[in-house]
Amino acid sequence: MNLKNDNLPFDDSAAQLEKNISRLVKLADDSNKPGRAFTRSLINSALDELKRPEIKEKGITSEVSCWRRAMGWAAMFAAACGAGLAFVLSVLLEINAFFTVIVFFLMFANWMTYFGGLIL
Amino acid sequence: MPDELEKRNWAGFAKGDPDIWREFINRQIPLLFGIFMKRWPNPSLAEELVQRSIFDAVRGLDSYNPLKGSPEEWLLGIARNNIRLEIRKRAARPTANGDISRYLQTIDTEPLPDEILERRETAEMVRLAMSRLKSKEQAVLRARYTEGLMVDEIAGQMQTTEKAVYNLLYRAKISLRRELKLMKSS
Repeated sequence: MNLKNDNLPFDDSAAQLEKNISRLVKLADDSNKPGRAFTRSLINSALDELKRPEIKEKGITSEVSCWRRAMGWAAMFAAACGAGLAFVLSVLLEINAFFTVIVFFLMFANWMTYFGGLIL
Repeated sequence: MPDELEKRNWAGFAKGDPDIWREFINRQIPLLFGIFMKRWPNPSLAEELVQRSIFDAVRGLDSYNPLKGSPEEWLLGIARNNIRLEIRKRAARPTANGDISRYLQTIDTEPLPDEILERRETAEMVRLAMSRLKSKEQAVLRARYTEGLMVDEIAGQMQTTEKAVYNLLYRAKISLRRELKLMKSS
């Protein structure tokens, strides 16, 4: 590798000069707008990034999780109504109330845990 | 109050519709560039911050909620956050000050500090140095760095070969460096 007086490899020196010249020449332009090539290249690379599977999946996941959350709330409401109805029926049909309360409390707690997990 | 068409666009944006995104980015790039240039008059830094903000938006797409506001407001929030990060980054490093020509002496070994690039005198010195170059050299430097054209595109514009453009670019860079270094003695 070529070495210059400043002990920097020639390639590094050329790269540094290139970078500084690029930044300086841009300063000389009065326009307050970005270059057309920069805009074009940024749009293309951003759209390529958008097409990446991970980014696409993120969008789908948030949509799915929204549905899951809604279903979770609906199912929790249904489970609560079901447990309440079963309790009322068991009282009306004169089944041992204490036994019924324990069974339905366990069932209700299980469903709450499951659907609570879906919501959160 | 957003109309139905706008709301549909926001939903399409949230889903990552490429056509809506293309139109959105195309509209937002000059606006963001203007915001960053107003804060720091440094086109290279402004381009870097625009690029960072757009990519932050693409990668953080799932955090956008159309019910909370427009994509423009959301992107502006990301840009403001990048301004805050840049301010913090600058506060953590030593400030570059002193004679500009001292920094110009080392342009092939040291990166020019942003604070130096943002001074009005630096832009004036570069303009003066550029005006002393041959017109072809000025043209090739502008085409390559201001317009951001590739060598083959410049060759097409100048109706010459790529090899000739490479040579011209090389000579133009050396001439500009020489002129900038001479500024010290003048």
